[in-house]
Amino acid sequence: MRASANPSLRDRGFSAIQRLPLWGRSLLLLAPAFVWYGVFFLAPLVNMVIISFEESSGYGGPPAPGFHLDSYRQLLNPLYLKVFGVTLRMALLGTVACLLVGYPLAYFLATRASRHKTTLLLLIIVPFWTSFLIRTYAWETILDSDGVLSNILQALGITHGSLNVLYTPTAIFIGILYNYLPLMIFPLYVALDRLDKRLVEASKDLGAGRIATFWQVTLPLTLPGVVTGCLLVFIPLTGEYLIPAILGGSKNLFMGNLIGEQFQGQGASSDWPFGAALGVTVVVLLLIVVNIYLLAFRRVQSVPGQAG
Amino acid sequence: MADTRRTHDPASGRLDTATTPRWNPSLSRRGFLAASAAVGASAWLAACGAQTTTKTVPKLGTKLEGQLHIYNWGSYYLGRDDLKAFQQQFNQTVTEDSYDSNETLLAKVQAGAAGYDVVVPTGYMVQIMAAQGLLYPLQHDHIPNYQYVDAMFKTLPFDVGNKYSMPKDWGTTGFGYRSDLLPAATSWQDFFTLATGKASGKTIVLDGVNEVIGSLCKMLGFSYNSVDPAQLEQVRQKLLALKPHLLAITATDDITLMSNGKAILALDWNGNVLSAQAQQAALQYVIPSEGSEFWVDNWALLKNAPDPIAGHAFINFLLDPKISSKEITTTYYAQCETEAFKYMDQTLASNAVIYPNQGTISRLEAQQALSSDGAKLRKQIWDEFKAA
Amino acid sequence: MRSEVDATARDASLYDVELLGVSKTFGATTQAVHDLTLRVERGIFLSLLGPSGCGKTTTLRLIAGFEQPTTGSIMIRGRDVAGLPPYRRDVNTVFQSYALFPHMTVADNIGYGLRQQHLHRDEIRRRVGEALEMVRLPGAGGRRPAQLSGGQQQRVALARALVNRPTVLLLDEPLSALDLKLRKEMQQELKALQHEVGITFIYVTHDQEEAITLSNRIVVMNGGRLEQEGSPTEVYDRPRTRFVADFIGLTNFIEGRVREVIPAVNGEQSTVTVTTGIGEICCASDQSDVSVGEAVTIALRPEKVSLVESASADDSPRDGWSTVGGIVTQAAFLGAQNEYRVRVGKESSGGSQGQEIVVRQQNLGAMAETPPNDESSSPTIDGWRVFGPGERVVLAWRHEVGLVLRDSGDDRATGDRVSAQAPTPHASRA
Repeated sequence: MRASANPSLRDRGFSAIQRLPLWGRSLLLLAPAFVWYGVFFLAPLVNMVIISFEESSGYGGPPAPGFHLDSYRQLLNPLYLKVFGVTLRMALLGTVACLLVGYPLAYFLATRASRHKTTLLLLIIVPFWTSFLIRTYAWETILDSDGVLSNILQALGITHGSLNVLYTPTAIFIGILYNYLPLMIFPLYVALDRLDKRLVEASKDLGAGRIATFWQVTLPLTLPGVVTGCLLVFIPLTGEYLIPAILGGSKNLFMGNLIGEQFQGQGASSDWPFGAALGVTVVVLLLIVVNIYLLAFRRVQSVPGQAG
Repeated sequence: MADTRRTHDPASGRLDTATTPRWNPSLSRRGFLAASAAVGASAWLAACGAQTTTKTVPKLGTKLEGQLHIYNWGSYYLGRDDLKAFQQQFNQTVTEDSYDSNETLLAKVQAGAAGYDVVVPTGYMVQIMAAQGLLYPLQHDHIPNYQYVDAMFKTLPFDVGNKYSMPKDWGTTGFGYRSDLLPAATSWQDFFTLATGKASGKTIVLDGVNEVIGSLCKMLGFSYNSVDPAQLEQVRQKLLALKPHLLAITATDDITLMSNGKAILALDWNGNVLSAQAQQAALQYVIPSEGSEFWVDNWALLKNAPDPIAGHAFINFLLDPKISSKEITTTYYAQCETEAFKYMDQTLASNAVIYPNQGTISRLEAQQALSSDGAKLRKQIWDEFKAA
Repeated sequence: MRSEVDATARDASLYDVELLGVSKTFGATTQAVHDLTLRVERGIFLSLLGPSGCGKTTTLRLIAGFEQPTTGSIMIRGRDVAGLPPYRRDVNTVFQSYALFPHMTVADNIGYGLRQQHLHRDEIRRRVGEALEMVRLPGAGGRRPAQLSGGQQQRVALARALVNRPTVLLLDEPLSALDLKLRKEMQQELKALQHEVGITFIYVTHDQEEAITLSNRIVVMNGGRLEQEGSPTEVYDRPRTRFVADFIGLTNFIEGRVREVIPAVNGEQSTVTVTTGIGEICCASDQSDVSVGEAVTIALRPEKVSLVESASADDSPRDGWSTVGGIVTQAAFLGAQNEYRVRVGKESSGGSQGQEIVVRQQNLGAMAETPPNDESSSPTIDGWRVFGPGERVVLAWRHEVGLVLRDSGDDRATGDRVSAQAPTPHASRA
């Protein structure tokens, strides 16, 4: 076909591609991905950085162009540092809580559930088929002082008087645990499911009890799952916005809410450059925190004798 | 924030019957639950129904293009029948798009959103948009019905002389309280005393910087729009003292919380308190004695409107007292024309929550666009209040 | 678990491991082990041999404590270990795929069991060093399992188990992942190692050759039951069931009916005469409990049959020998042996009564190929020569070589291997 005297345009196109060096062809295949990330990821990110240096209009809306450091200077206000602190603490607590609850659950699913495994996994996934928003509103109903939980607890005589949890940090914590738990369970489940059960048997065979086996074999070997799960929970948690707004009654300001307010807040309460500066700072902080975390993890996992 | 009062389902604003459909909170969700999701942009209404209305025609004989584009808070903020009548009478096709906040409107227009004729900014936003040259200077001779607009709406600080805007409807910010559970309250001072006392943990405030700070300014005897640092410092102290007693800061759950009785004291707009009254008859709306805010939503034309003539015709049409008197049955907010009372449902016209008496009105102040520094100072106080 | 009290209890028993009427049922129906009684003497190398699914691995796991018996009891050194988890049993296991801890160095792997006993660090280091020496891997302690070859990993797995000086070492097909050459090497090492440490080895395998090479005792299992227990020689030369005869080595089966039984007299074996499709066959048997008229199978090992030229065969067979005439249908050169398929029968002409018998002759000659019937070029040593297809031959074997197996012995056996009753030689390799 290619030898014909008058090759079709398509053929010529093909041979032109084939004449490209390997890197050229790779580039061609990667082009759609590059374009996508360029347009929908990099460009907005760059735009955000640019806006963060602009000057707030004072009444919300797009800022005036220019180069100012005001927004970054504002970050140092103890008020906003406190919000950073509160957010990090919540993200850490939420991550640890998800890990503490998720690990035993994932362990059970991977090792004990056997026949019901699929059903149970499905049950964990099913809530994810509804919107995050709806699930969170559902908790608002459950935690309500006249809600299901309150009534059940009273009927059982566990509490006297109605439950006053809604719009408190406890409600936020419950919402976080619920919404983020599957993100923790799945990587843990995969890690535990892939764990060679004979290693656990070998450990027991060599005289290690259940607990010793867990600490010496199961946990170290599922650490990659723990790391993945923690990152999957921690990173979005630092930007969590809806749960504090809905279950916290907007009384408890976290970084996500603060940033949201800068863009969606009414009139004076919105400030695009400041919001952008907060966003940039969170991204940079997360990059640092995550890298430290991963470095620490690699040190733990590193092979002592692998120098050779 | 003005969107909630506009986005509530008009049906629930009814005061008369208990059989009215319940207020739909999703329409009032702010920001993420954009009201725009509930209502599409379509308004290609079939020209049917023999609705006869006034014969108002623009005085200038310029030809209308046949297409009018409205950018509004949502179709529930414009009577369907009135819209149909306008289309029939002027042989216009009307297209509607919706936004969920003044800031969205501003951002869209600044970003160059083209093709819209009529927009509906709140007072302070009229001021901002006019200052940026985004609004079309209105030709008053194209709007003969301007004559019906009450005098008090012709000298409002955000647009003296209505150069850029015509008032659409208006409402107030005050507080609602449960008269069956709390002693009678008449002032912001009463609100604060109850909030930090008997109603502690059952008090909510709007999630709006202007309303909350402005209201406490009034309590302390300052202007609703004060940006004086010393005055705002006093407001800040009061806000921080108030915070631990709040159940929620919300412009999305306020009606629900009042309706189910969890909130017995609420800093809110009149329309929202009215909505909750359907469930809680003992809920009383108070315009505090120290004074408060009244806000006005306005018709305005964009500078680059494709068909300003049709835009003028549309604004003039809706300022017709016979038409505006019907609008109230859709929006349940007060109209700006005394003339409209003649044609209005008298239970609405005589409702003091919708139409306060003159004495009360004289104590109200309009929200204004603030100076940049003042806005920043208020914002810091607001952030601190929320983070506390 | 290594207290003084236990130590005395250990010494009280002759056996390291005793299984008494042990059954194991998985779920509602799957019976992996059925009423198994087995006593393992101290210091022996015992193989559990059988096809996959025969229950041998389950038996091992029952001893290790990974499974608990449904009924019956298990004793280790005279101590009932019912309900004891693996970490409370004085046994260690070498797993099929080694199950080395990938996140630990070789030294940490080997020292794992010692660490669980909270031994002093120096003691652990010393014993790990010794263990590495023992498996000829000195200096590999700092490496990771993934950096080792299969054979080296195997040695580490052995060292990791043996360093704990268990009463019994359990090995679950430990060599199955290695290539043939390495497997042979490791077999020798294992045997030497067992001799050196003197610990009882219980070795699970499906490879009969491996079992015969390594073990003092072989337990053949089938369908969850013990088929036969004995020394490699006993199991090979005196299989008690058709299954065992079939599973271990290559066997010809000749079916027939008992015509006459002459009971044993003065310590001699009894003589059983069986009428078969290829004539009357006389067998000297330990089993005199067969009765006249009973259907039996005669098992005949191919290498125990002599092949002689038809012409030189006596009309009247020598005393104590069975002979049958036939025609060579296939001749295969196997290197060390020549394998023939010989069609035999009453008429030896391929009638419906005939069957093929496989015969193996040691390759005593030097010529790779010999044309049939060319006697001048055919090198013979004591009458030995190579035959070709079509040649008439006579098969001869001593009476005690033919084993009379009662067909009832197969009743409980499962699997197509045993149920096949083809008229052709039922010979297969395990």
